[in-house]
Amino acid sequence: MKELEKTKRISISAVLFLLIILIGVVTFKKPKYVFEKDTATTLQKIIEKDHFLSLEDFNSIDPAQYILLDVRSNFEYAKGHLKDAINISTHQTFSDSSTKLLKSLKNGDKTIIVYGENPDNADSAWMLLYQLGYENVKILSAETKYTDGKFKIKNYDLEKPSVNYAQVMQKAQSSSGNKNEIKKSTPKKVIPKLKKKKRVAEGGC
Amino acid sequence: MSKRYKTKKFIVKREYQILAFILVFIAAGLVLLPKYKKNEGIMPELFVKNAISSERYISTDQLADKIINQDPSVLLIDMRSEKEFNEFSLPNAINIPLKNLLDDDYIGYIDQDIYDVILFSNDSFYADQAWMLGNRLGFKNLYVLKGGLNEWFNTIINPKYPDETMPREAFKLYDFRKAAGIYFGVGAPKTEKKAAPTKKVITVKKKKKRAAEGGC
Amino acid sequence: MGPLIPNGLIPVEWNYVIAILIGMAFGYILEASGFSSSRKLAGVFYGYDFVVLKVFFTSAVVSVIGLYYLDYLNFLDISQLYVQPTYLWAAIIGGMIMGVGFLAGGFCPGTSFCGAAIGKIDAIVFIIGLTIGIFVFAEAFTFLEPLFNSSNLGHITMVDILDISPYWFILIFTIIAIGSFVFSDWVRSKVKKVFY
Repeated sequence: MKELEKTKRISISAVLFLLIILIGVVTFKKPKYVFEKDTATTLQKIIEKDHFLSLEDFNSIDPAQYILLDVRSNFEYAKGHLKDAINISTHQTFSDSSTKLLKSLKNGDKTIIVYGENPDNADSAWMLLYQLGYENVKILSAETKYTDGKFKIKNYDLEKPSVNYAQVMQKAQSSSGNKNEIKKSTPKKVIPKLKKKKRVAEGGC
Repeated sequence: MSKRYKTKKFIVKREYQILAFILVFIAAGLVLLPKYKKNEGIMPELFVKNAISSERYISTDQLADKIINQDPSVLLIDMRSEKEFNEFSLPNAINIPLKNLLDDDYIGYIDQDIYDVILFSNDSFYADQAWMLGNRLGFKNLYVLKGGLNEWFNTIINPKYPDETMPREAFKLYDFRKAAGIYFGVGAPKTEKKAAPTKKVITVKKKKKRAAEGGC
Repeated sequence: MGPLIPNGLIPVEWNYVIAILIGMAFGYILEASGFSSSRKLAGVFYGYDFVVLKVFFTSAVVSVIGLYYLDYLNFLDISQLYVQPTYLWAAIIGGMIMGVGFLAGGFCPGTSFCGAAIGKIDAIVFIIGLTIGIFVFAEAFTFLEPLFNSSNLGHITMVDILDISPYWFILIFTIIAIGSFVFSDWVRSKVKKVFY
């Protein structure tokens, strides 16, 4: 009889286990959006640097081959935008209408060209779209501005030093006879964060 | 043996078989369930929320103030190439070229909760991209120097003298920038060597993994 | 969501509290399933009692299935779980020494404390021996260190080695477990019954 009691207990726990899994599976909702590209591939893509489009290149290609995507706010867009540009500001990417639109463009023959106030701005959208699996997206490396009642766009050289830093520094130092000494601060010691997973209590029976 | 006992014994025997069957059934369920692609890092919705916020930016003035006051919580990371880094960089910066961002040797500098990590490059583009990747992987305390070194040179090293019509604050800011510029080496005497930013040798400390202990 | 502690859902400081609670539950289960008896434990070697095998195999199967379901349902990120690094030769040699100790002493480290807790003298003697063993190992560590650190294969699992889908591996593993239960029952029926 004792044995029977024991198996009863096992059965109860087994049924509970089964029930929990069942409830989990039934109530499970697949996440609507997942990143398709992992960070390593994205980094690879960034280093390749072929996802930019300079303004000259942009002007030379046929408008039928691309779709312009304006990622600025609706307000900025209303003031002025490039011809035939569609406005999906970055935070609206997951709204129903833009999801539909983007899905229709996903990996089609047309290139999606993203632009914003500056390339940084467009970059957020690009990073998002690329990691979501859009391969045919490019950034327009240009600055856009609305001044004097006109929408203006000008080329923007990415990561180009404005001056030769080392030279300027040298010149600046020698130009005036200021006696201020540069305080050398001692380099800080950096201890990278310990991975918590490396210290775990040992198991055993 | 009574008959009743026999039937009960039979149930007990069967019960183990049923339990075994349940176990195999559940395990088979794992194989049969439709697979879907798992998300690496944070969910896209949260990614966007973080990406559109401008909280990640730190201005050159704020950074200059932090360096001058020797804020111990700041960790500067130069995202440019090694060559550019050797020519010029900000004081005490560590060089992690963008392409090495996710290397095991460097990830420990980015993924940490002790320092405020400030990423910079010539402008804020590389730094921003690095930030986005960090954001995706859920790293905390990452910041981007707004405008990068170009902005640094425009504001701290060569500040523009404000117009007469500008408010008082503009002049105050100008004075601060001028003073900061001196701190960072503008107008140092000729005899002195170039203010070589102290460079750090990155020593990668591999923590010895703890061996398994005990166990049955 | 989980793992709860690395993801900050439970503060790290609770680590030890939770460890103590789990440890108590573990000790209770060990004692409740009779693991504080050295005869029961040694039974698996002589073929008259396979409770040890059954309990540990079942717990492994149930937990791996549960974990992978949680992973599937997005409650847990299986890649964040800690995998003990494999030191191949150290594990083989250590396992052999441990096996001899298990057979001779009738306890494994955890159950010896379980036995000591209910006042078994053999368990207490076992613990004394265990402590001496730890002391000797610590003193001789300089000589043993090359072995201790050698052939580190890193944080690998069977799934990595065999390069198959973890789900299939779990199914096969479950079938193996049940097969071993059936086999052990068969062995038990052949072996002379021992009363203890």
